[in-house]
Amino acid sequence: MGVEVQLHEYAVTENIINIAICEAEKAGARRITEIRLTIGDLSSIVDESVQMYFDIISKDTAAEGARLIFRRLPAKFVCSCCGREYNKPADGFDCPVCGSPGRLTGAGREFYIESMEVDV
Amino acid sequence: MEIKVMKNIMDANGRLAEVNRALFRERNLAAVNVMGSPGAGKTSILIKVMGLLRNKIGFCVIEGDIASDIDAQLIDGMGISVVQINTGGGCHLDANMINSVIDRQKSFKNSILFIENVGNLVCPSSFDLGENCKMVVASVPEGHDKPYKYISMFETADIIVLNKIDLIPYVGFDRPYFYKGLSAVNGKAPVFEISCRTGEGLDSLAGWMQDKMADLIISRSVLVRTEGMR
Repeated sequence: MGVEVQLHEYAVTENIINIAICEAEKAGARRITEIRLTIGDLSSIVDESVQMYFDIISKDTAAEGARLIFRRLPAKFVCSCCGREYNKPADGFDCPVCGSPGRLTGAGREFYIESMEVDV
Repeated sequence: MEIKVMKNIMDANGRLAEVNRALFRERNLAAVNVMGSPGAGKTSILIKVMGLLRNKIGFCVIEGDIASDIDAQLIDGMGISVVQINTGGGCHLDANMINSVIDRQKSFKNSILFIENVGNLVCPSSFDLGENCKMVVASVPEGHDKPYKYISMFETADIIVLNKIDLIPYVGFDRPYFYKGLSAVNGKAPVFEISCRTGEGLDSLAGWMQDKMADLIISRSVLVRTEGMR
């Protein structure tokens, strides 16, 4: 494979390319020029690693040379006291308004291909 | 031309995890995915818990490591069935790796199956293996800030073990801060404070394992028997 240490982004990027090529074929497209990804901050994915593997794995496929656009979604917390919803603060998890402890809402685990730009 | 896709990228792993889930049910395996940093004490905990329960429950183990079979040898030395997976640089186990082991190891049945993941607090949390339970091992010397830094790992846990509590007086571990972070990201998982070295807390942990996981095996076999009688 030429890549000795595999970050998990390798397997994940293979999935991205497989899905993208499959969708492009369904649409009768011959080339993929852009792939728009939505990635939650809790999904343990590093954009740069996906991009690096993408450039390697997409070689000689319909996805070669496609531009990857990453849309990041933050992890969200809800305040246990005032009920306010907020993005993960830089430090700790407490509510930025009233200072009470917050709880994870579940947002931030997203990881999907939103759309693509193709040439037919 | 724009194409709307809206496809989850982890679907391929998710589908295989469902296959594993069905296989575990069929073989009557209660699968526990054991995750934590390198050196947190994952293998030591498994060895201790299996030592305490092996007269009552069957065990089998899958050991995941980047390289080496050091841990698998320790478990083999106990006379417990173990298979080593070397990921060769890969940072986690995925559903496909587990699937091929279960498929080959026909003797893996009617037991608790411990799947010890690669030591890592990041990636393993993103890969569903089809397990019945995710156990996260933290240890005192790693520091009290781990739930704040590795949110995803602690969020997905069904049970959390804090190991090496005998070291608390020596390393300045701030317990309230650890628990505060933990309760923000995971309000439901029970936490067991233990020390593999002194043996403290191991009985309660083994008790939980017996209640939850062994019960799962027994209730399934009861179910199979009842279905057979119809």
